[in-house]
Amino acid sequence: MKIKNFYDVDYAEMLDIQKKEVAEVVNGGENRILFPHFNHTMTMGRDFKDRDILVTENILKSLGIKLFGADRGGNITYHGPGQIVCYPVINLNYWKKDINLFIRSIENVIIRALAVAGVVSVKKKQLTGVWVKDKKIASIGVGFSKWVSYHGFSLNADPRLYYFSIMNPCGIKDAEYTSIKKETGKDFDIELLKGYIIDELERCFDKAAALAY
Amino acid sequence: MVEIVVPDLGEDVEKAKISFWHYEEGDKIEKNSDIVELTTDKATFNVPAPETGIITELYFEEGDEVEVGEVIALIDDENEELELSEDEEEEDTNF
Repeated sequence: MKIKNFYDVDYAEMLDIQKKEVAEVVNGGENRILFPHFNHTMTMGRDFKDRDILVTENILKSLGIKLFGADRGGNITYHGPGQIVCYPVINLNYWKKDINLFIRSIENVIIRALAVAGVVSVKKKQLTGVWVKDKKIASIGVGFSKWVSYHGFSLNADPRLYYFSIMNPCGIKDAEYTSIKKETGKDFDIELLKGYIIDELERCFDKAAALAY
Repeated sequence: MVEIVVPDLGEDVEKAKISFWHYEEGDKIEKNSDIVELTTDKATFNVPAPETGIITELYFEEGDEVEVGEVIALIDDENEELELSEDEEEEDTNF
């Protein structure tokens, strides 16, 4: 799998980059994992409703948060420093053409990577994402074109969790968010965590692995 | 005529919502170009046209719920106005 990092990238710019990467995979290119590192950004998926932003546009501006529409499923979420954003661009024509299986597998990848970081996390029925007890630590929203995936997930290593309180993240009212730092009290190297995520994604989406994961 | 059908999206996905049509009725569409974006709970899914043709019917509005297997659009792949591309094998850059 190709691994690509994009540091200090603007969300709109990343959408264009992602589009080109997906087109390459659609045309037979190698699966790839994209890691965009965004500054303070809120993205609105297809289920977004105005009521899920709890502050005014002026407050968002003063906090330095940029707002973008996103061609993924789900509602609103936050991206920013201290967070791993990961876009696995995977050709499911060589795996299993199943949206829910893909999403559940991404949850497994995150849970396994978090275990290495010393955090015990779980899936919840009917609530996509990864949770530490009742607090959300990772959010998922994906899209598919010709069964090639785009967008992906965000995992909180040590972001400023305050930003999740000014919206109803994923449309969930009073949702509580957590991070690796909050759960363990320790700093965890983001680049190392990315390494674990890459290992797990490669294991999961290797062509031969198919449903064994 | 070619029917555009909501594809099998995997286990436990029986319905989806039409987010938006990438084309309008009367438009020419190339084979493999995405004709519609569907939305499920946490995913968007683009459905490609199986053949080049003229879109004659879009049976649903944006925001409508559709079921897997349901016919949602019709493409006329034998229309006289069609100027079929000579290079149908050209790389697909539509996404």
